[in-house]
Amino acid sequence: MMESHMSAIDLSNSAGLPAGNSGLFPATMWSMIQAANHEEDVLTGLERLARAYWRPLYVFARQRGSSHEAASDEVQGFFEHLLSSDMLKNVQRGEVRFRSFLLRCFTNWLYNQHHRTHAAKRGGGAVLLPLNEMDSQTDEPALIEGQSPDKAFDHGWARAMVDHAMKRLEGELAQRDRSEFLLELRQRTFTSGGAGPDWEEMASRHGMSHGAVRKAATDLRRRFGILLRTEVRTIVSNDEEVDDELRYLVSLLSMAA
Amino acid sequence: MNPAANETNCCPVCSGRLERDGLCLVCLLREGMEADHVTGQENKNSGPPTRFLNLPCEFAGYRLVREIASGGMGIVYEAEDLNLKRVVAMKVVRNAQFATREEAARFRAETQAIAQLDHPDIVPIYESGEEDGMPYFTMRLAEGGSLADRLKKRGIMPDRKAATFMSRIARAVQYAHEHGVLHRDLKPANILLDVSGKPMLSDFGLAKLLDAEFQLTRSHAYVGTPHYMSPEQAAGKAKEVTMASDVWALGVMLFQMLTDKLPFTGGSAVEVMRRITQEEPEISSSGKLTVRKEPKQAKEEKGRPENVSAASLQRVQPDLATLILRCLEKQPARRLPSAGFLADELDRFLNGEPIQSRAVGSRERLWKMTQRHKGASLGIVGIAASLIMGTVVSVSEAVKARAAERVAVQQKQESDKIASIILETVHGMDEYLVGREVNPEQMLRELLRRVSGFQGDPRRKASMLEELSTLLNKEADLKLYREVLEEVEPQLDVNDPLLWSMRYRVVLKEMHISNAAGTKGREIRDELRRIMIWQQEHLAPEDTQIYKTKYALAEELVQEVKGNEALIEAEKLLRSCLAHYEKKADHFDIIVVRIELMTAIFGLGRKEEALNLGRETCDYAMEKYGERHSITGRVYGRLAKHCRETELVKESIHCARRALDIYWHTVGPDYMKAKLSLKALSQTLVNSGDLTGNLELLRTELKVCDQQLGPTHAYTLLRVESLLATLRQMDLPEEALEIGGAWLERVRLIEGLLPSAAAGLLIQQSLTLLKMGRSAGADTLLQQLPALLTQMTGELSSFTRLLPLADDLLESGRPKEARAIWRRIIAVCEQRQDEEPKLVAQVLLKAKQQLQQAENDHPTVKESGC
Repeated sequence: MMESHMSAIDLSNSAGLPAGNSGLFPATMWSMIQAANHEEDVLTGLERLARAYWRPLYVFARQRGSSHEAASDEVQGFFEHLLSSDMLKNVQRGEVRFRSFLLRCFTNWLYNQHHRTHAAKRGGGAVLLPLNEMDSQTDEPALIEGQSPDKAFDHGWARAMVDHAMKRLEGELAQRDRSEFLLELRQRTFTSGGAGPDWEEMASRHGMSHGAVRKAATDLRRRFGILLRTEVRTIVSNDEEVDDELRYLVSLLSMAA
Repeated sequence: MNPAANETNCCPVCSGRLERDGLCLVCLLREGMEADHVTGQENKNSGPPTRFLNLPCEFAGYRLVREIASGGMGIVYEAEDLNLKRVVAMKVVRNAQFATREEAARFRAETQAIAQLDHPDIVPIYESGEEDGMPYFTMRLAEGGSLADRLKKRGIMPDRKAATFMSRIARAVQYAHEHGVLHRDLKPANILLDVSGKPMLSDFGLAKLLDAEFQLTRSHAYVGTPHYMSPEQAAGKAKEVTMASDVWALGVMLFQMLTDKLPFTGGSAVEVMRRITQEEPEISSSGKLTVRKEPKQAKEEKGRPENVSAASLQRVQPDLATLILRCLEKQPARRLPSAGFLADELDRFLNGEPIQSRAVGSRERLWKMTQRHKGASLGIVGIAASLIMGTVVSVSEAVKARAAERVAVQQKQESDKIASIILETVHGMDEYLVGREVNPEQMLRELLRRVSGFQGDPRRKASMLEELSTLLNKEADLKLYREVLEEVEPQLDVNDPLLWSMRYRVVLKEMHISNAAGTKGREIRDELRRIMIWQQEHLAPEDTQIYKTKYALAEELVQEVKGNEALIEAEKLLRSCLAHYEKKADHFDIIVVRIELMTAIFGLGRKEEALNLGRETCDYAMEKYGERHSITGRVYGRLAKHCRETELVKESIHCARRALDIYWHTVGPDYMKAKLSLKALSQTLVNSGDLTGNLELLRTELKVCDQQLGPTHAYTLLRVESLLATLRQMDLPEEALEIGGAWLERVRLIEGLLPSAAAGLLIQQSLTLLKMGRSAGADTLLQQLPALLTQMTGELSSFTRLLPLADDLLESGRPKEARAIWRRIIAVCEQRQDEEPKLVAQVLLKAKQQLQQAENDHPTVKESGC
């Protein structure tokens, strides 16, 4: 039964989304999972979310001192465990955020794992997570010396959310008129850290006014903000939590700086 | 890339560490936070980098002497005014690093809020401004330190002294609430003392203007000192922070004054917050202080004395304990209804009279128990019903505070807001509801149904209704209300103030929906006169309610009835109101009354006198409120109107521009009066032949909308449409085409897809294309119209405004699309007939006629689509 559900999920298709689609998941994924009546719905939903957010767990494990292989194994093993039904009762205990739920489950699992003999075999050869992606050097997240695993997890979490939103934005822009301009603008707007790149140069190259480029940059940021909120909304229980989640991560990252 | 450079790579905006690929996560996450705000402009133009002031130094014409305190956002300095040679306290935004647009706006809101308050027990603000990008304001320096110092030095206050002290504070808080200002951070450190020890409320660091819709503090839900936080603040529910949260803080302070302890303590801020939200305060209703049982002692035996420490042997007077407990109710709705009520109760206590609040009794305990075991047995409706029984008073307080700013609550939008106040209260009562989609309109309906089915004490029922009547704005509601009024009327004494108050409210609502010229209108005014006479005979001569009635009648006479006789009566009424408010030095109401008086006098033909009154009132408003308050805009707006009617075109244009400028900077371009002023000014410019000026005005307004409301806001879109239509009329289709196209693209970019609110814009753009003979382009655009029309929801007006556009489409040879619009309008109107029967009937008739006409002229050739 589970196989059929998993095969129905195609996570590779993140680029070909129709414009305006709220994305991979329904906007309220986490609350839907919490409210779901059927085990399989919970499992399917959990898996879809967890697949999108496995990287922060990997960073967490790495920051705790695991090697790439060990961390990959841990995350992989955890996911097999996560999708077993004894986790289900944990889902509906009113945890407000998926982030804290996932980390709590993971640390519990690691703890138990430690006390357990390594008898468990990796099941069935089904590669649940695209961990092989990690092998490419550029993709490996930066480990920061002295950062606590918890912080690394949250940092990785923020990054994953931003990445998802950014990917969606890119997908949308690619479909617009003047997509080339917009994609370049996206690149410049966000990677300069908002310092105000050389709009003048860009404007003249694209035959636009300075003001129009600036305005487009503002619109882009606004769109990104909307997409980011949509992304956050999938992993919290209700709308009010969206701000709390963002605020939490901002305060955490600001402190780290 | 050079790895060494990477390590030092800091975000130039927030100084945070940049990611390897140059992204700044903090800034990006902030985009998400910003995206929820009404104004979504750029937040990167934040002012100069961090700078601290090295003391002593000169700053904005002051010599800063020493730092007195540093609060959440600013540092307070003792400063000497170099001109006036007086010593003041100056608050400066601490750290420009944090001075984002959001925080600067918050600071402005803060100064604006305080400047409005004119109360002997509120620290007055002298001046506010900005120097080197750092906003500041100066206020009176309190020489006596703060209540916190006083408590630290001298400990417990005697009962009567504490009651007297708290009564004063509570009155000042009530005054602020009535002016739409919440404190949100009341604590002893914010109660300053003058040399004589008189308390003064200060630091509205978190004050939020109820009326200006400042959502800016939402991203800072965890503001405030934990010990004085209300449960809703501790739980981070920024949206639910209301006047009741201030009442909570007053309760904590009263507790602290009487016992030198805090009702909720803990080892860490989080622990304190957890106790605030979950545990009962450490005092019993008989006034005994209780010591929180630690888990180990949980199995305490009955006979054993509960309280062990010496301090816990003291008792608080039961009445005071009751008041404290009533302030410290977890549910905002169950707290004392207002700070003013607390003051009244304390005064009763001081006068040896019985207080009106009851101790927490069995009913409440039962309620609390059901709260703990909620779930299947309690549905939304049940909760709403319980809510109504206990909370109408607090809702009404919220309503009144709003009413002080905006005189009438007529618009549907506004009553929706009030309904959401109730809703938020419901949310506060039961988290079961949080996050569930509840339509405020539905909720209100349900509440009304519940109230009308209430079979208890008629007085109680009447008072519930009276409170709710403020929300009634539909004919159906009024009918229900009248029925219940009739039902309870025989059971109330003829001179029961409640009865008269209800009658007043009903008649006020009736007045808003009736035709003033008809018989009904006359009856309503007679009823108002009867109420006025009763009030004059039975209420204290200085009771403001009398003048509210007088003003309501006068306003109706001036605005609706007109005519010589009516205006003569109105002038008399208004002059009496004016005398009353002048005696009370109530500047706001003085201005409101003078505005109507100006119109009354103008209508009576004494034009010069009226204009002079208007001019004087403009100066008066500028002096009292300045251009940072919308009331000043109102005076200018009205004066502009009368100048226009006197053909003083220049002055009219000047005044209207000022009014608009003030509205734009205070309440925003989508405020009803701002819209009206704009329309009038635009018309004046067109009539005087200044078409370019008009175009410039529309462009400027659009810019303001773009900045303040965002490019995709429904009103902004409406203004783009208007600009496009004007450009077409002025035979500038190229410019129209360019603006329209660019805007459609922006909307698509931001929203992902074209939202239904852009239907009008789409039509306008198509009309331009058609005018330029580019019908293929128009076809492509119009293909999207049916889908947008089907998606449309929302207020009726968003549909009805499409009527003229349908006409234009028909004229431009697009009968198919025109018909689609009419059909959609007809369908919607038929579904929602009872919402606004008059309007619906009108619109329906028109749409049907047009559709019929079009069918005759251009018979339908099998259409697909809607």
